[in-house]
Amino acid sequence: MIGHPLLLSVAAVDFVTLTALSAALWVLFPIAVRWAPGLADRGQLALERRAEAGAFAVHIAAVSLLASTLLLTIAFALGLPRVVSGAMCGTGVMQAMGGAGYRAMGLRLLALLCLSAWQMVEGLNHSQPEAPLTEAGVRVFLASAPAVLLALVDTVRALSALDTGLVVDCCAAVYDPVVAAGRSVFVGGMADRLWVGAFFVLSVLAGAAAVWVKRAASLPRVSPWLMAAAALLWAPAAAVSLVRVFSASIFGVLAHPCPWCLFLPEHAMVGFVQFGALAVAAREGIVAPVAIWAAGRDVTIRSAAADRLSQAAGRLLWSLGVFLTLTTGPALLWRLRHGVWMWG
Amino acid sequence: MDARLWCRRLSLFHKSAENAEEAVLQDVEAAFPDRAVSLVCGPNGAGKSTLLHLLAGLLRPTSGEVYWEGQAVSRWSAHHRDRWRRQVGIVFQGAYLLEDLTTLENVVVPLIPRGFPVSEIRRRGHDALAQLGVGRLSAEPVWRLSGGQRQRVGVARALAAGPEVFLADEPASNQDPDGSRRIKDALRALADQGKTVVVAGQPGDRLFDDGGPVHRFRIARGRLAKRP
Repeated sequence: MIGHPLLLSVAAVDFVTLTALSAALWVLFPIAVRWAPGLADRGQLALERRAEAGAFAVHIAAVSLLASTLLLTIAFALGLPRVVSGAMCGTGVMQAMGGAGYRAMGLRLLALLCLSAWQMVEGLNHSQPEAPLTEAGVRVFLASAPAVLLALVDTVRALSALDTGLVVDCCAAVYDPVVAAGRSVFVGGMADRLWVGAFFVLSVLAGAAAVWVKRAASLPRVSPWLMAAAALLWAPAAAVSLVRVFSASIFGVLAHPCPWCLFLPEHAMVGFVQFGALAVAAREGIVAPVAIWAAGRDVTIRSAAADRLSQAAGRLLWSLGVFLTLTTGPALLWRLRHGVWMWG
Repeated sequence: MDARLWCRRLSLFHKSAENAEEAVLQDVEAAFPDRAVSLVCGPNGAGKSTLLHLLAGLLRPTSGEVYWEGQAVSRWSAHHRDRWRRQVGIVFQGAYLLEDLTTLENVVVPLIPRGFPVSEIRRRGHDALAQLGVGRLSAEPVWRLSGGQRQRVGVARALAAGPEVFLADEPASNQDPDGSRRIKDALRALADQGKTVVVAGQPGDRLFDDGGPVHRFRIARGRLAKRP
């Protein structure tokens, strides 16, 4: 691993995550084995103290993992292209890691989603003074821990694989698949039209479901599932549509489907906001199953679950709005200025 | 007997300097009725202060529970325990006043986070000080007060928030007869309003010997017993 300041920062913050995760595992594991809320004996009260201390450690792990993922994204997008020969954006950096970088980022997102699910359970748990979901929350954390560990290990592996001596060709990495696939799947082709169509349909569906959930008086039955499904399908459809079609209006050139260029200062680093909005939408998408599952486990949670669901609907609407504005806005502006769509 | 505050098999163990486990309180079972003063008497080191701290949610028991209106408040998670603590007024053995503030400022400090309007905060502060007979000292810096006056300011501070549960640890230990009477009257008035009042005192404490409902407990070596 090279001694780049951003990578050293990632390593330091990841060490905090690993320490907090290990502490949380040590503290919380006995709860999964011996939890007995009907008792008020010494063992149970000690477990209740452990539950609070452990939850604090998991919060630290989640926040530090988020921080290091953001730092890693900044390193890939802005820091390392200066170090890797031939790299102009994160695509070149990814090439220099031989594919390990994408896997590490994917595992990090999976780990963050798992910890988000835990945070939602924990939030609902602490809405009630008796903390009725403590044991369930611990089980969700124990199920999430391997994903977090894997993400940390894979990041080290990916950064170790980074070969700054390798001369990469950023543009070839972007254009070669386009040329190989031919014009039919390229901008304006059938595959892209399907993606864009799915993106718009799912945007409408997710937005309508979110409004439906927000207007419901109590915990609704159907709309949360619709909102969850639409949000979780919307995120990949939106990402593909952004990279393959709408990025053209941001870059001002056709046929440059590069996600990492969106993070460059030349394009106002709009990628951070766009992919951030996608991450928020995916995160809020998993609220519905978690909230409904929690409300089913303990009836006292129902009101808090309904509130959290309404909050998720609000956040989903915001992220939809931000993403749609930043993604389709430049395309609409182009159409208004020039009288035609950029892709014909 | 109506009791909203009670405890079940309440125990607290500490590790001594030699790392041996010592029982500070052991299997305390008690109900502290409304509309009466509960007086817990025992020698120094018997566990009186620890019992009050456990009831107030300042300490977590090793085992057992404290109940308020049917809810095991001692087992509430940290975030909710603050909600319980806001219902409790406590007078410690030491007054723990903020030396750089005036008497009135010391009394109103705990009211600020509760969101009362400033006029209401001032009114409550003045009323509490007047009730304890130290109203004329409201503008005095507390470092000028005598030990007995400081103790009464501590009682006024606990009263000002209008607690549902009032816990006092030897509140009249440094008082002259007038100060003792005022503290006793204030606690009696609280009990008459239907609040729960628990007072810790030394053996032979005669603070509430002049009539009125008093429930007496004796505490020794961490074990509590009800006295007839």
